[in-house]
Amino acid sequence: MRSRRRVLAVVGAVLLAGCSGPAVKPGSSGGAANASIVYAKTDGGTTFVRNYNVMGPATDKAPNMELVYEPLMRVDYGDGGVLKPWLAASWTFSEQGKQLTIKLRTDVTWSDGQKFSADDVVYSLGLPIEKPDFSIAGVTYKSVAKVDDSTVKVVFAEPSYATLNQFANILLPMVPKHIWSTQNLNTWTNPDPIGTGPFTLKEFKPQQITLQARTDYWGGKLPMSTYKIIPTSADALKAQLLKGDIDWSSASWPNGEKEYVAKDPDKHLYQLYSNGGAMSVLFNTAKAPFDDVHVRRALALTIDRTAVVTTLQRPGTEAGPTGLSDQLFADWLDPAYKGKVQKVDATAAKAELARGGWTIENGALVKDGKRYQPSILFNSDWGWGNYADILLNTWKQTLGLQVKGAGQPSAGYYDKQNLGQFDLAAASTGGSGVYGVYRFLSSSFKVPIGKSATLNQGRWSDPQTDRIIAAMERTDNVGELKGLGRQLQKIVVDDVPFSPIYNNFYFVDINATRWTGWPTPDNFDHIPFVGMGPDTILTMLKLQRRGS
Amino acid sequence: MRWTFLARRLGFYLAAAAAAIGLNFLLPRLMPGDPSSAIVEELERVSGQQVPAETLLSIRAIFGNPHANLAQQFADYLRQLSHGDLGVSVVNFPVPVADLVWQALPWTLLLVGTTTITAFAIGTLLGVVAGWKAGSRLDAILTPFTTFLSSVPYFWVALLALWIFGFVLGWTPLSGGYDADLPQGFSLAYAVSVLHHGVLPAATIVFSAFGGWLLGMRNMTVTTVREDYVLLAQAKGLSPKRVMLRYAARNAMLPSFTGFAMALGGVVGGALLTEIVFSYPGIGYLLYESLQKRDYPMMQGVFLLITLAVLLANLVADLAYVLLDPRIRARG
Repeated sequence: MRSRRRVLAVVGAVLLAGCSGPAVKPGSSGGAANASIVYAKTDGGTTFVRNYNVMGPATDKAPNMELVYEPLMRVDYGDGGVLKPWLAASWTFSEQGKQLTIKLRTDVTWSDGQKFSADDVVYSLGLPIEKPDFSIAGVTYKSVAKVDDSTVKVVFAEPSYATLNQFANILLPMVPKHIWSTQNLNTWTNPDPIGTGPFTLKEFKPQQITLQARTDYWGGKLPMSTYKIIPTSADALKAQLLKGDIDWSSASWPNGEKEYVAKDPDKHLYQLYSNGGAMSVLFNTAKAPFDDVHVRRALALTIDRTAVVTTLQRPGTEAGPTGLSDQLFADWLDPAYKGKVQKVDATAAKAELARGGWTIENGALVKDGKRYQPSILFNSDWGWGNYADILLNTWKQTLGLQVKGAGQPSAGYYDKQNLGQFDLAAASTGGSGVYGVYRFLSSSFKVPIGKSATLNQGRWSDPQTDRIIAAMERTDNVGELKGLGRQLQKIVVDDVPFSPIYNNFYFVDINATRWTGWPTPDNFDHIPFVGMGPDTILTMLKLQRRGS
Repeated sequence: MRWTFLARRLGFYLAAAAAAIGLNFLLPRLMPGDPSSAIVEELERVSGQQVPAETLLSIRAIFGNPHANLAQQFADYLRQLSHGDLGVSVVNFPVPVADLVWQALPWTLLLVGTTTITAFAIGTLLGVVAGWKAGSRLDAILTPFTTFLSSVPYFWVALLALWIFGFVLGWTPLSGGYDADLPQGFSLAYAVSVLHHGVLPAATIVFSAFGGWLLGMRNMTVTTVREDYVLLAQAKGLSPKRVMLRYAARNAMLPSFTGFAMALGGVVGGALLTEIVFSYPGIGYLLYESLQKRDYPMMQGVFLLITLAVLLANLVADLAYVLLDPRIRARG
């Protein structure tokens, strides 16, 4: 890590001294007929694998399969994470939210010319039920049936207004029944995917995938003829963006404003869009001392969030006390918490400890003669050590508490977190919509320490929280949902089941030399992040070739 | 005499290969965590949803249950291997491991193979020259310089080379192993693009590796030069070049040669850092990814290949030793 920083410093100097605006590769000049857009993927290794078995349990599928296979709905991240139509034109709940009737668009065709119909939807939604190993999207409905050619009915066991976002999951895409039902899905790699999306596969090479834009896409005509995906490394990416070899990527670039945007603010875009998630400290509330709200509050009051985001070189991304980002949840946040970042407050923290009857002796929490020396679990593969150090230092300086760092590589980290074998954990929290962010706090996900939990690893158990979450599942009234959401925010702020540190973002890197018309974080109704499916498609539909 | 020697060595290598296959089967199973729950976790991370318990069961049905009887698992494993089947990759389900390996192997052999040989040749040759006249001006410059070189982290060298030659000067491409816009196959343009993409990663590997060979060879040569048989050869009035190469170097090279054989065997393991920095399509990243994601079948496939390659390289080295070192022949 250290040597890497040094290299970047050297490189920065070289750039400043040596080159005044590197020449842009001419590329394929000329008319829109051969207009191509190039996306560089930094997190997919050095080669791609031709595997479009998109519903299968593989975790590394062919990249950007979501430009070929589309879901029924999309999550509108510009609007608090509410659901908007996509292949579904509309939907209504009945039977107190236990039955969902979905009306489909009637103008959609598969790329082989066949019409998209209710049979395809019944097949696609039915796959996870019939073949549980293909249930990777984690569906909650019990059955699916065809009503007519453009209507399907989905049945749930419980009122399920709040779980609608499973139909927007890119892991639950619509696939053509006439092709898929004839294949053995346990051995088929689907090398030539046929979908409803705007692209078909033109050419697959392990180091470059070329997708061909359809001319008969239901959503409109794309301005580019091909979309290319190439693998690259985070370091080469920076050079490629500066050189204009690529148009689009999605990598975080600490100091991107200075090293990239400042060199050509018109064409070099580096953007951050809140994804509704945050990096938080998770308290293990199933065991002492973090079963005591006073201890949780005291530790939350002494986290130096500003120091962490400064180290991240991402100023202004500190999380508010609710864990809901201002950018995304403007209409949903309780005004009392808007724009608020918790400051380090040693006095208040000490008062909290005193109220709970706690003292700190020789770096340990002490109550009734029992000593607790907590440790914080973090994922060392994510390079979280630096930030954990900031937390440890602040707790030591303000409270005199010595917390131990317990870094683990991904494998061990998840095991320990899920089994509840931690005191504090630096963990990602969040989801789509207020319900999505807080759902994990439901005690229905709580299992004893030592048994693996996939949600609620902090083992939060609170009847009030459960009541509100259940109420959210039973309504689709926005006003009511906002009210319930505020009650949950208050619980999170006052009772601190977890304490947010900084907001997570979708990072978007763009070189707008060839293509213009990109959304910006101050003005967007979809996020120009590749991998979001519908949002990516909406972005591409609105781009224009520069100069044409 | 020579044949019993050969048979004994072959027997040893067969036993070693059997042990390697056994270990290869066992080691990943001794690591913490199991792949099916790793898949479930990854799926949950990607989807943000809880995966039903049935999924875990059926994933185990597909990939084998890590908690099943070990003997049974081993028998299944051997049966698969005997058909040349390395299994199905977990993270790339349902793509066979063999497909992934065959896709990456040629690139690795090309890049790491040629650079290993080149680095060894350059390092050894310069090492002999430096060691033959220890203390000469050449030695005084070369030796400290390579000591410095071998202490520079490879990652640093590779990144800096990429920036200078790829970005600032624009001589080489910034990523990839070939020009993906060209049709793949045996055409001149494609071959040129492969060379063009490969030259910088290759240069960085040679640059970082030859120093090690040089230092080893130099130090061995320095000691060998003082041996009696070298003195005798000189006293006989043989030409200095002949004494240096046929007498001193041939003996000084033996330890280096063992190292070289090991390095050749290790070639199939790929060069992870090179692949990361230059986005090179080799096997290093495959191995790295399989370890990170606990992809047992992929891990085992690559490990097996590496172990067998190392064994083969050692066997060849053993046989070559017989030619290089007369003492072994005598002892037989």
